Amino acid sequence: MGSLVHYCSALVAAAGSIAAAVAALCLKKNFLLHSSLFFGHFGHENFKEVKQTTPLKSSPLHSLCPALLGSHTKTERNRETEMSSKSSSTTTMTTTYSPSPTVKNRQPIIKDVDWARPDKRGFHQCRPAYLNTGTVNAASGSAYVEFGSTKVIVSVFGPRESKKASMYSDIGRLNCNVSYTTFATHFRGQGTENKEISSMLHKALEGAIILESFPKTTVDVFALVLESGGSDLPVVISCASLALADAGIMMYDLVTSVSVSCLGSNLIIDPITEEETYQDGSLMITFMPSRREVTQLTLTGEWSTPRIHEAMQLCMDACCKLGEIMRSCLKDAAASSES
Amino acid sequence: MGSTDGIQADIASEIEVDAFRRLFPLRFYERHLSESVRPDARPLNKARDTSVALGAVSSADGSALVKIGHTTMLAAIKVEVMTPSLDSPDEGCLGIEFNMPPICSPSVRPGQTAELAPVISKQLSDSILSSGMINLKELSLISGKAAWMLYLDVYCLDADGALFDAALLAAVAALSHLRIPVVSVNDDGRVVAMAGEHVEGKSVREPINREKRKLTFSCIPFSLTCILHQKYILADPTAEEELIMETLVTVVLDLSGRLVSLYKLGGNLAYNSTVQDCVALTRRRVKELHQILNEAVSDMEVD
Repeated sequence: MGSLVHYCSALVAAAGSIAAAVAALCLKKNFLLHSSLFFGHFGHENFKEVKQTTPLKSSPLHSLCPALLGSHTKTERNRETEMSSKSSSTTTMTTTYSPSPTVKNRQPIIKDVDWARPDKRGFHQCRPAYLNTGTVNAASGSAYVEFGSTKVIVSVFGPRESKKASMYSDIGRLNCNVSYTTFATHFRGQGTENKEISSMLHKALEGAIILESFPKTTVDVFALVLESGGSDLPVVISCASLALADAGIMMYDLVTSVSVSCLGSNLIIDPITEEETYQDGSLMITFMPSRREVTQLTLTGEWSTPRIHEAMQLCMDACCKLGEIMRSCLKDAAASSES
Repeated sequence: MGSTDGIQADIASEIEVDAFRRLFPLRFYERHLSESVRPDARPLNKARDTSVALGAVSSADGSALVKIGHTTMLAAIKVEVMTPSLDSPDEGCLGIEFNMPPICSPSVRPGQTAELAPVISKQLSDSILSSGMINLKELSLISGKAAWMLYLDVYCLDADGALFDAALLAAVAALSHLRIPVVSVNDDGRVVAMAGEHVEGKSVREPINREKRKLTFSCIPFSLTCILHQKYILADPTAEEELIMETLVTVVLDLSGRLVSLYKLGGNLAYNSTVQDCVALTRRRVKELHQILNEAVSDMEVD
């Protein structure tokens, strides 16, 4: 069964991903059939030549529910519940535990060139993306972004009154908060807020927002990770900048973010959770594509200088393409709200 | 000339209406109610459009996304194995939690739980557990040794009134989407999932729950919240309506029309006949919701 079937009955925005994935191919075929009927935005983010492969078997397209999130018709997906085929580790004996198989499938990590990514993507190929704005009616601006199985929703409130205790400030304040749902990760979490990611998000956005435009007030950016499928922080950052744009907060440029993992001698873009656990090093760039300015750059692990250069080029290229997709998403939203 | 004047007058009156709505919300609503219509063009006793989508979260064992008007709820279930308590060795457990993350409403700030969240959390688990919807004995794996613990978490993604109704519908939908993984007992006596073992071609272990992957429900609770204001009953209120008019009645009924719970927290006095009317409205709504849920489930099974 195709595990990554992603199909929306009314508005599809999927970026890229054809390669060998049978499911993705189905999606593509189906989309072409429907593209005249639906007004969707559909972008490609393949950095290498798209390889067409014949479908091995047809996988049924899950018909999805219409019009759930947001003013646009939007869908969540039905998907095969993958029973713990991902990283499996035995938990310590507590009152409850997850019945994951104890068989460990930890060996197949790169080394050879034939190594394929678990979701059959090319090394330099991003996951299919779905973007949507105006998801949360109660917020001033909001966005829902889905990169593969990483699903994030961001609400922006304000500019509104700052906290009573805060000092007078000539420029506006930015307040960021990121939390995870309890079911976001493979093992059930606590659903608490993530301080580290919150502060990273704050730093990534701070440089792009024109804080002078809302003196004495605060803009709140709240994110909820509905499902964590890897590269969470870059997705949260891109989604947050989309939500800020939707809220009409003045920015120098859209902020896009992409990460790259280094596995042995390979650079893989937009890693999933499994790849992130095996990575030797990672690089994340937060980038303003029109201005070609970097607002944040994190680098961890073992890297050589030419490697860093290569990875940065790769990230910036991907950021530019992501920026275009985000821009077209905002344009579509504006066009549909006018008509 | 005349036409531009007309447009300007229109804009002016529109601004006036908006100002009137903000300054005198109650009078604004009462004017509407006397005409038997609500500002969003609904008749008084009509609920908003409702949709249910199953399987929204792939990392969960069962999930549902529910939308009533703008109110959006995401419910997901994760299953874990636990050792049952000595008092009930052949019963599993269901833990229900309702969360209001700061994304859902401007009034919720990070770091502090919304006042409403624990209240709805309690009402949800009361309604689901006391209605006898789920037979906890079904969750048993090995008597006294192992049983399923279901963690049902409901997240409010967008709060626009009638939160309990949406949360209950999401919880019920997630439970009907739940597929319990096939498990077996390994050599150490631990319960492990069967996935991945067939690949190696040595599936020697017998699954212990081949038959019991889907829960059977003895009844399904559905609810409707109504606002009472003077002689009017407004079904399925929006956040604005909840803020202006305070007397809320929530009725939970099961499919056969039996009363599961009834909440009327504070507000003005309600007469017996009014409550009867609310129950009658709920009875109609239960049929509607049951049909919506059935459609979502059958859509699922076609796939």
